[in-house]
Amino acid sequence: MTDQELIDQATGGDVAAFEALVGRHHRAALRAALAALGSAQDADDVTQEAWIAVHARLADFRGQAAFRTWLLSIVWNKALDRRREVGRWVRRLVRLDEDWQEGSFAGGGHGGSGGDRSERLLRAAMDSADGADAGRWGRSPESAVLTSELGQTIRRLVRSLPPKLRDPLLLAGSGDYTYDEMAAMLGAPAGTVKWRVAEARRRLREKLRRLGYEQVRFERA
Amino acid sequence: MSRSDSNGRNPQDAAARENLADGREAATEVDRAIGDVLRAMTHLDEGASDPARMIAALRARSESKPPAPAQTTSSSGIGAIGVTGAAGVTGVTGVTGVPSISGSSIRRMWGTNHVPARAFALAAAALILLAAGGAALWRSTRPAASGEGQDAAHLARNAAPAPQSARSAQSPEEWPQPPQPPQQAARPESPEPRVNAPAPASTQSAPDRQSLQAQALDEGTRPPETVSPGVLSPRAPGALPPQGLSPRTLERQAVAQRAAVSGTTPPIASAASRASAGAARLALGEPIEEIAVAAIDPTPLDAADAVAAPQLATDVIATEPIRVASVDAPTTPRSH
Repeated sequence: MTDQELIDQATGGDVAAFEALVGRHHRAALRAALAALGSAQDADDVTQEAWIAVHARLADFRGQAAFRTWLLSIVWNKALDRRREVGRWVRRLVRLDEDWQEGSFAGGGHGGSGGDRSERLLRAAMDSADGADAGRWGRSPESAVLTSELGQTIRRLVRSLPPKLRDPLLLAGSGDYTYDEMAAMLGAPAGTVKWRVAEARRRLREKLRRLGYEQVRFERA
Repeated sequence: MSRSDSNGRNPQDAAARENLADGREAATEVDRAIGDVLRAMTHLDEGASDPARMIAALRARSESKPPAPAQTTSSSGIGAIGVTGAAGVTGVTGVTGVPSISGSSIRRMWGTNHVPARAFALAAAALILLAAGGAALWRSTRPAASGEGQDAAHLARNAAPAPQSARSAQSPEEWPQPPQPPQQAARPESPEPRVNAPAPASTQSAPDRQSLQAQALDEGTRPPETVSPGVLSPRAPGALPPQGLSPRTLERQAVAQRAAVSGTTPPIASAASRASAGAARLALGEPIEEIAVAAIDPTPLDAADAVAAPQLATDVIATEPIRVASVDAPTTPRSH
């Protein structure tokens, strides 16, 4: 059953059809909110608000764009509203470390209590990657420390990017969205989004090179 | 001079190519690390992203009451801890205007090992306690300081619905109306615009002014002080000048006042105004000699001056406009 058919049924009052839409697109919506907010809890709240808004405005959906794109735009706008709230940015500032490790990184059961953050980051990064990438990091203590430092450094550098570059970079880095979807979310042409992603990567590479991380291959060898 | 290997290639170029290849590989390695970290930063736990959980939350939300407006302070909010808990009334001190810093978030920040977070939580908690203490102190001391007459209003305000939190639960029709500002009609309307209103420290006593105003209203004439009290009514020594007048205006008024007392044309007036004033005096039948002399020298004429006046007046009239440079020229540049 297509999204449009589910929308038609949900507009007619079919709750199950709407729940089917939620089941189909919830993960993408949640991940977009997480990319914008950096907090799993805030992302959950925002996504819930977005689904309520979608339910209320479902009759207004004309089908000019894909439902998923429409949903992601609503989620992103609500996430930006949440991000702008006075006071919340303070909590987000101090919780970025916690949430991006405990809220999202701790998924999957790794990251024991009281464990070193960098170690958990390393394991999360390794677990989220495919097997070839995981093996590529090596298992020696030295390489683990180096990679852990690299992961923390990259995360810090990503957070220091301006939002115009950081947002598309995180969305693109999640691998869940097409550039058209990202363009709809960010309100910019797809070409601009591509440029911003490339520019963000270039800046990260440049900063890492200045920090000496281009030698990572030789240190690991 | 570079050497070549057996294949005819420059070894240095080969090393450069190898370094370049290494650099590319290292860059790729960094790129992969960036990609891994980006994926990890947006990684979602399977449980957290379970759609069934969201569906259940949506169902529960649709079955419950509609959410309260954002201004409503939660039970763990700063208003509940700080103001409501201490003073019993929300929104008295306006502390509830920052409800986004909630008690739960403070507890969460305090529970972390993040030093800035703990410092922020401590500062926020101290601010809350300070606000609560201040509100309690203010409310406990204010009735005593205000006297007996304030007690009834104070109690009535306490009994009235809270202005922010409780209001949000009511419909707009049920909201208490805000106190009306003092009515403009309650003040007796002045029939004339206020021109150079005298300062409160005027020597004219208030009852006298009121009686003059009442008399003027009865007779349909202008109250005497509305003409130009700053010019015509003399100030007592040491009395404050009229407020809002520049020093240049005050100087002009003083000169005009002296001129009015002496009966001459105010020399501070411009050439055009002096010409019109002179024409008016001429129309009233004053000798043209006096008008011309007065335009040059505002001091009262004595007998010696009067003798020389006719010839001087003829010269002056022939060389209009008359300039009294010592008075008309600005002594200081204007600041604006």
